[in-house]
Amino acid sequence: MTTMFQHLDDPKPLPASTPEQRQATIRRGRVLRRRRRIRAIAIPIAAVAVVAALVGGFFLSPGVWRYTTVSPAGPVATPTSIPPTVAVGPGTGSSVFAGSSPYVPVTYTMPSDGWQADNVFVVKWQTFQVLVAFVDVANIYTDGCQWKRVDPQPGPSVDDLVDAYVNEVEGVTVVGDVTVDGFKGKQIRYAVPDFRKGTDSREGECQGDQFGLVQEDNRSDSGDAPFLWAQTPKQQNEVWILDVDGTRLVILVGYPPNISVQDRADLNAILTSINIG
Amino acid sequence: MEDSAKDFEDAYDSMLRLAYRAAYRLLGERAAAEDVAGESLARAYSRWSSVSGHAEAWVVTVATNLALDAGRRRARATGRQVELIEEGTVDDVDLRLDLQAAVRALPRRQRQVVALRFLADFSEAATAAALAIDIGTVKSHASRGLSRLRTTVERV
Repeated sequence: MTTMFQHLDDPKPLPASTPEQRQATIRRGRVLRRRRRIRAIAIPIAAVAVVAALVGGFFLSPGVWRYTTVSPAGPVATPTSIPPTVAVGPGTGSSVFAGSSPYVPVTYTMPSDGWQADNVFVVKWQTFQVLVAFVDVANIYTDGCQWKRVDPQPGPSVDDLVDAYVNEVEGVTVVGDVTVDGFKGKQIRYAVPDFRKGTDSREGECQGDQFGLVQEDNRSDSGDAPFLWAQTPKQQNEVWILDVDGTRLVILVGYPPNISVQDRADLNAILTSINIG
Repeated sequence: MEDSAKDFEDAYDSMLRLAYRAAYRLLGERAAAEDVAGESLARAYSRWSSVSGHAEAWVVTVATNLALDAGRRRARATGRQVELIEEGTVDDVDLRLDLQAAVRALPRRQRQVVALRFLADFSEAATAAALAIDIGTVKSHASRGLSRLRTTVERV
């Protein structure tokens, strides 16, 4: 049977492999596995260290909020040296834009119980599936599942990033011009695909079982790894791309497609209360 | 020898042929396709306990992605005037470059189905089993994927 692309096949058949070839592949595979295990150990250790630092910060400087321990299962890939600010429950939350240098602060109203303000995001902490993240985005993924970044990296303007989303990410809609706290920009929307998450018995289909969304700026050591990844398959993303005094900053809102009316209202309340700088 | 290594070696040539076929159809260059196939198999071995149940499909998918990356790097380094692919005619080179662009532009699931069905010549049933979807879904993705390929690649 002739198949569609058979005429593109190598006319010379591939010879049978040799034992040396197979052993070389196995050695390379073992190296890859070791590297992955090192990463798997190093990231949780670093996360625990940051949680310890954050918890320590609560006891040293208790504020007006009710503090609680931080879930280590947050959406941020690796800790940064961002100042610790964590709060749970109604009140004023504060964060900074991850990757901004110097850090650009942001405050907002947390509308109800169940929300946690963390150093670079505010999240519905019971599920970690509804969140607002603040990021100085360096790059995005043309294929978040395989951590394929846009190449070349988008330029520094709002339009550069909008163009990268439109041209490189599937299903992006440009909502239009927006203003947040007086800063102008553009909003786009898109949804991540229905990727298969890993289970105990079967590995997820995405690299590291994470569907990458963005990389932050000032992290040249992170390789392809995402700074922020989708918390659920089909996550809906609303992205505000703002020009804040000449610096492009991003507010990324993510939530599952079946978000509750209350959570959506809470998100809107947070967004309308944002104060940058 | 570890059981996993023996299982891997037993499946090696079959996986290698499939990964090589997909990579060669995209790249048209023996050395590059061998590199891609070898790397795909090494990655498969690195997570063999979770991959072994659907290893052939897994290496084809990885090989396709690696070949697309390699093609993109080569195109960026040399422009469209690729240092002409040693075994191919000019027509085939153009076709491969168009095919790379078209496959790269497919949505993820369509790209997986196209890779398995048309770059590795999996049957519809094997593609459905590998991706844990039903045959009707495979047909639908294959049809849409081909339709999108045809808008880019005239000879498909």
